[in-house]
Amino acid sequence: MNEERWGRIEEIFHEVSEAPPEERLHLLDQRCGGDFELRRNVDSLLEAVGDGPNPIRSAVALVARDLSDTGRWLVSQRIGPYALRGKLGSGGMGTVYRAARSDDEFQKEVAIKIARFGLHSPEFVARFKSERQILATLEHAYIARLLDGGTTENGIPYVVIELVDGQPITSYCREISLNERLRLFIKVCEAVEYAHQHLIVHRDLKPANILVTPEGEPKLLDFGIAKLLDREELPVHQTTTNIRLLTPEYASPEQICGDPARTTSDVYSLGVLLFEILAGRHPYREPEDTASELSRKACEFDPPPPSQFIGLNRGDRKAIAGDLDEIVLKALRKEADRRYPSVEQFAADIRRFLNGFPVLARRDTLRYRAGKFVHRNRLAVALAATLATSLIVFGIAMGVLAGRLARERDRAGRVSDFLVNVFRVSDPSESRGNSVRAREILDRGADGIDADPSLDAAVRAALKQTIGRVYQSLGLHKEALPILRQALSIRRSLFGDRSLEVAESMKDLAWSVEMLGDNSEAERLYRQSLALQQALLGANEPVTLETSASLAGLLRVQGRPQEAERLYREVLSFREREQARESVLAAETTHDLAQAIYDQGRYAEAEPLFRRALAIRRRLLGDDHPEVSDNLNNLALLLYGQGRYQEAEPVYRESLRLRRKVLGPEHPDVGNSLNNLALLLARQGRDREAVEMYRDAIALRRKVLGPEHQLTANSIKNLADALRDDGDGTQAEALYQDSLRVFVLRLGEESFYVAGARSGLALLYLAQGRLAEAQREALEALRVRRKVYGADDHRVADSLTTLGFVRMAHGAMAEGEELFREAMRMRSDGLARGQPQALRPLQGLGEILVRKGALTEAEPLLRRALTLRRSTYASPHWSIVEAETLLARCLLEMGRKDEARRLLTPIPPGFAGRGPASARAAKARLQLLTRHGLPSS
Amino acid sequence: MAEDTRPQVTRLLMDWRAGDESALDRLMPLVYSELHTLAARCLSSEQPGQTLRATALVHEAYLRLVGSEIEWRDRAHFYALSARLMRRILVDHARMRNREKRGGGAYVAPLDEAAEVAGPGGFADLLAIDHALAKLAEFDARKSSIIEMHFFGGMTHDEIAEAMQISAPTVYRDLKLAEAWLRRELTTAREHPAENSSEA
Repeated sequence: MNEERWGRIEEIFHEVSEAPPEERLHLLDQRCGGDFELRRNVDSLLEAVGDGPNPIRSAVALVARDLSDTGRWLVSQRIGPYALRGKLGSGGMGTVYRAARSDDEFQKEVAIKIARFGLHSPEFVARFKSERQILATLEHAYIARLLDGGTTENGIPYVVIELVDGQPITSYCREISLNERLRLFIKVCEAVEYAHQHLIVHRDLKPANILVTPEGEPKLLDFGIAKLLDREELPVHQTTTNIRLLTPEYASPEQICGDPARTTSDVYSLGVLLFEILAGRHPYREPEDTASELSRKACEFDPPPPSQFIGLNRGDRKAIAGDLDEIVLKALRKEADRRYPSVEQFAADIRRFLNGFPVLARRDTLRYRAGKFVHRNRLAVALAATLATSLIVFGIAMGVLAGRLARERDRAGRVSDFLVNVFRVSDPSESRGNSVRAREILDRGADGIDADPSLDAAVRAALKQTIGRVYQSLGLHKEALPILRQALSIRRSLFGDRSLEVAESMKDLAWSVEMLGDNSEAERLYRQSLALQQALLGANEPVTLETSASLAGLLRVQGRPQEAERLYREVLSFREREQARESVLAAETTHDLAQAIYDQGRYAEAEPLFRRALAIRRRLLGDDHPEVSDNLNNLALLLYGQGRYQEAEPVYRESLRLRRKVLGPEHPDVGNSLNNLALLLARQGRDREAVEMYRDAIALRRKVLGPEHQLTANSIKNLADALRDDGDGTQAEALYQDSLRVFVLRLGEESFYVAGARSGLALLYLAQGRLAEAQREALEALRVRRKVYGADDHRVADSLTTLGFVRMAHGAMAEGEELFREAMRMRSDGLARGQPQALRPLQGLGEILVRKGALTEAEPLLRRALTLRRSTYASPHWSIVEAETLLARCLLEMGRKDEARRLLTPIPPGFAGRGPASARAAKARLQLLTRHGLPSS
Repeated sequence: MAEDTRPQVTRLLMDWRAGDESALDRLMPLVYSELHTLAARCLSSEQPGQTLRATALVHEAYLRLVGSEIEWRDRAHFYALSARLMRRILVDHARMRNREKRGGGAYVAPLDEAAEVAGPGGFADLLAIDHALAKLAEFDARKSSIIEMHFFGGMTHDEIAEAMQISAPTVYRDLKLAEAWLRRELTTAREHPAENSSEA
């Protein structure tokens, strides 16, 4: 068609079709004039508009449907010597038919699978042949056998497989008891394990591929996308096509991400299956989910324990809750290396459950959830005792025990019998929620070891080691110490000084020794253990690296961050080299290294490491992981320490949000986040918000840690700090006293917590003019801080500063000046980095210099103090007003009235009513203005 | 080790948009195989009689191949490309089925009669549509493309507008006319079945 003419047709078509119906005919006549051809053309087009069902749509739909159902057009009723008798189903690779050999007089039926896209794509043909090969190597009672294979006349490959007359495992399982289901599942595992031993990963395990015969035996089908482990993957585009063939409901996260499937991918799929046969439903599939939604869930959604699904009967729920929950969840971990390393071990754990033995998954879960808490995080150990309900005690005991079992299989039976009996003595329902009773059980176990004549020395040592670790997990290091020492000495005599057993015992012992405060002994033990492991195992074995990292941790908390840094760097280089550069362990070491560097004040260097560790953890663990929220918290601490409050706030908030989500709203770490965030708000002068958040922190900590826990007391002390300046002084004093009582009760007179509370009290008394009391508290705080931190610490400088203010208030200017100068010297690093806490002596010294008339020296100090305060606090804050007044006073006395006046901006109405500190600042401003005859508004 | 094809697809898509026509040649097989597989998998789970959810299919292919971190305009281009490929896939298939039907041989009545089956008419219809679209493209390539995007790619008016760099009302008007033209063309074509369809 002529384009010009078409343009004309188009124009008239639209004009007419958009006109009111009654005008159309007329319009058409008018626009086409005498051109009848044109008129007929437009008219017929107008007539065709919206005429009945859209033919394009329906043709597209029909052909698309047909395309998807290729079996219908690819297949004649005869394939080779087989006559087809009906369709059984279709999978990703092809369609399966029921068939029988026409030359077989017994007419034994078989299943024939025919390639789906045989004519189209050579890669499917290749896949098909590969399945045939794979099946040919497998001969197992629970795997459907390959009978034959070939190619049709038109080149379509097919395989002939044993016909399994059965139903999908999930529907079969609805009819049988829980234990029967588990035994059946173990059989499935055996078949998968058998394939794994032949280096074959199934990659598509799902109920439709696992049928159960009327005799109750499982049969694995469809190795269509199975992979030979030792074979190179197909080229990229083909592999991705294969990934597309996955069933997203059962595919592991790594398969969905397109990473190569390993045996642990089958562990995952089996985990989904086990979930389904236990809970009666899929862990995350909802009826409307699309493939991409399912893929997303597989990668992101953490399924709840199967026992939590409604619809379970009470008996099953009770039986599943606990061990089976943990077994399933361990198999379903997003990170392949956190799952069971093999199907065999997965099955073994279920057998353990069936036989009443403790399961491996328990240990893993506890480590997973609380591991960092209990084992690594020094701060948290104090919390562990409080947390330790008997349930956790039991769980950890079993977990640790299971860890032992894994390593000492030969003794496993006797060790576990012993411990299981120890724990069975007590009725768990009696001791629930009562950590004291749980401890009694442990103590009884510890005593029983020596009394039991049936145990040989090696078993006794193993048991002592185990119980020692349980004590450690609970933070009961005093109890752990003797029993671990006994274990060590037994092992020395059994295995000799130079043995891995001794190295392990020394390492465990070191941890308790460290916790009980003997750092040098702990260091010696770590180093000896490390030397043995390096000699016997090698420097870059995981066990050795773990000891190195523990030693580094000790050095760090001892205030030897340089040495810690060196060790962490070594560990990191091994971990990055040996494992993936971006492994969870590498991230952990990166994070700890960052802390060691942070300790040395090299904030700029620490920050990218914190961020790097965070990025890796986010990628590998997902956001919803305690290590991610911990990492965020520490990054925020770093930003906070640098005075980068605006940046720190969102990081803290995310950490808080994640902790609430991952750990639950009533977890001690949530209290930690609330406390830290409130501290940040207080530092920014956002006292009201801070006070509210401290109150939340205190309420939470009272509830989960108890009212007399030092961390509860710490939040109370912080609240007092926030109330001290602009709040209710009386209330602040009561809170300080309250926290002080708990600190002394828990930690004795000489802890840094006590010193902190006394410092706060000193400042409160100072503001209230109670100078004698202020001086007493400040001196005591100084004494304790010197003892705890050493003479040159910045917190000692803070105490000197407080004392300086007290002396200044006493009128002892020379003394005050000396104290401030000393504090400034000690704080010079912090000042150089612009830390807000470091400016207090600056301000104090400035004031004394102004009073002395040393104005030229005072001015730069006061300017600096003002600049820092302005950058720290939201204006107008009393401390900004105070700093402005002081600098203005200095300038006025220098005769620089105009500059001073510019500083003395009007104070907003109501400012003085905000609280005592604001009132004082307003009053000082007013006095200055009056004294120099300046207008007061 | 399997590599993610996504970055590759994104890059090719951008190259193509920047005017590198050879990028399209490399892009085609990737998208083609993706759509092909998806069509087979997604469609097989749909209920008989339900219309093809091409939109869902193309979006799915897009997410798999490109991901979500790409500009809107590139996405529109991707959909346009997918639509073209989807047309090719379906036409290839229809042509083969049509040939079987007439040439005899491989095609035998389906074993499973339960589902509604595309009658031979369906294949010929699609071939006729393909033919008509090719004809339309000779004098109005834009409208031909718009039909393709809408019916084979499941693209909305806004998406088409973005891909073609025209306004949404124009898309609406183009579709209206092109659809009318096609309907008229098909009514006439039914009397003279199209034999050779063009490659999309």
